[in-house]
Amino acid sequence: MAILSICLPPFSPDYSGVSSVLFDLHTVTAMHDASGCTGNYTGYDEPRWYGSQSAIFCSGLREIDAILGDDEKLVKKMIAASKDIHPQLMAMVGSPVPMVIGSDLTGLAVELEERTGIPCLGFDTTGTHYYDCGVSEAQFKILKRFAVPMETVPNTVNILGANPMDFGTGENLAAFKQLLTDAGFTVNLCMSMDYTLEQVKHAACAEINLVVSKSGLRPARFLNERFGIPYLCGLPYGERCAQDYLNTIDEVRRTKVSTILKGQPADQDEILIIGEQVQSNAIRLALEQECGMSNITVGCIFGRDEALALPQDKDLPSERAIREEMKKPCYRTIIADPFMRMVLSEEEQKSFWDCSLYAVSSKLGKGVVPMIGKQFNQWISERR
Amino acid sequence: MKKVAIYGKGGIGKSTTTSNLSAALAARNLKVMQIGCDPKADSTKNLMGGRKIPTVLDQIRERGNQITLDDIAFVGFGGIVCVEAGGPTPGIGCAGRGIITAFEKLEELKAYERYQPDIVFYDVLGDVVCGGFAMPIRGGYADNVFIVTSGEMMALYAATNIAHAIENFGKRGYAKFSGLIQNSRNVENEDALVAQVAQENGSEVIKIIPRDKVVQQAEQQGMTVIEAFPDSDQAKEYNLLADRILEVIGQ
Repeated sequence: MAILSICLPPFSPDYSGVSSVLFDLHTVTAMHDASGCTGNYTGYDEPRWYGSQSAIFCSGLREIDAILGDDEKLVKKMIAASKDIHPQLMAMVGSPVPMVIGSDLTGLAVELEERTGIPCLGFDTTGTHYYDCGVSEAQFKILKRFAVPMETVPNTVNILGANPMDFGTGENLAAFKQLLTDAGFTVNLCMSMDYTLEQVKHAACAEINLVVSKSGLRPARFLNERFGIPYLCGLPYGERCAQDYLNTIDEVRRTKVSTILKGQPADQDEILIIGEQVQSNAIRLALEQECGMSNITVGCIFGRDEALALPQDKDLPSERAIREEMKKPCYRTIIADPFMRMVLSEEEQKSFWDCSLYAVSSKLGKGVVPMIGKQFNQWISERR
Repeated sequence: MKKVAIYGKGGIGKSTTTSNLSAALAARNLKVMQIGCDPKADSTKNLMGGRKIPTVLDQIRERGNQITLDDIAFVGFGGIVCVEAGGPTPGIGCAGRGIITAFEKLEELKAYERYQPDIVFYDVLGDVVCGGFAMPIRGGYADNVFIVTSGEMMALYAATNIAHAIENFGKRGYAKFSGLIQNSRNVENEDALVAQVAQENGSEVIKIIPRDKVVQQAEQQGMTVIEAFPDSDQAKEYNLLADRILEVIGQ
């Protein structure tokens, strides 16, 4: 019962992460489920869904299909859909029922590709991991499959780890791209919001990969190993930080040494930021650089990636762990999704700064907080 | 590293054959890992001096995320790394899913990287009854599958079923069906019956293991024949089987 959620909703799962990466591409994607998981993705985890043309379907898995392991039924549906849609790519995405019965979607994808001649990817997602695992896996598999060696094009960058569960409707991504464009860079690929398979094929032309969430780290490491492209992991929140960020891009391009921006180790805990690690690190860095604050701890609710963490950062794998951390008297300020307010009782007086995260509060959150460059300074000035 | 799955009907002698095979290869200074995929969890007993080791699933249940490789992998005769996937209490739960979970845990704990075996044996229960029991055949696991059978009808029926399952997975580029191992029960016309089934499945009998009471005598001591009676005729048969397996898998 230690992992029971009493106040908080379940956070976005891995199958939503995979689907969000496939959303922009000309695919036939089947989520292998009875319909609930597809509904969860389209209704809560994907702000781009309504009004879109994205070909993400539910496989319509039924009890007898699960009992008999009737893979052929799914394959036939995929083949029929491919004849109507003529996709560039097909994908099959797992959910809890296929997990329990041991469906082998990765293997089935190989079979489907052989029968149709269309590239096909299988994802053995289970619904028991968070969205970042799915985003990471999907970006990695797509890049591994489609990116080809290319000449480097000067001042060209890729953005990796962009996904709606971290960036909602994408305002911060748009501002980030504008910052890069104003600084003279060309964005080849923004994976996986507003991108094409052609851009994926050209991924190796970038001088540097810019990792904007935890889920961008694995594909960045892959591109580093495969094509020698270094990466910079962080976000330019805050006016001075933005300039530092651009300077660091130049340094990483010059030295070819990948860099992760995290902020400073703490002597004690005073400020708690709960959320996605890369975004939280960016907020920490901005608070330190722009406001002179210190002793800032990141509470990792989707798993603590050691490479992205400072010693003071905490793994908060359950609502109980989140509550216990938030209740600690040492924290005078908490920055988190507004839903986290429900975890604290009214008597527990803390300064609480809302910072919505789509993976937590979906469309019930308070919208994206603009933070790129001086937008962060504006946000902070309204709260101090 | 070569990965080999040994399938067959329950009670046909898979674990006995696999353990003797592991022991024969370990005696040649190969680094061997044997993973039992049966809820009974007795695949590696005769490599561990007759002791049943804690299973992966039991340890996951008890230790949760605190589980380490040392909780589930144990070194037995000849340095063989022994693992038992385990399973639920009979009558409840899902044994097939249990095998998947155990395999995922071994990967997560980087078992293959740490022990770096030359050869891994998956000793898999009976027939292919659900997706979980097909796990060792899947991509990234076994390269070759051998099926243990006798000349008894039910054993041959199970062997044919398993061969069909492997064939079905063939389009996915998975493990190759590499032959039958005849564990003789002295059934009338046994060699011909097994050879016929092999032929019908486009395969061959790679070795006929004769029936010998020395096998039971070794098991009563909690050992393999290779360990307990290394100079016996039966030990020679298991060594010949090891030769054949290495030849077929190209090691």
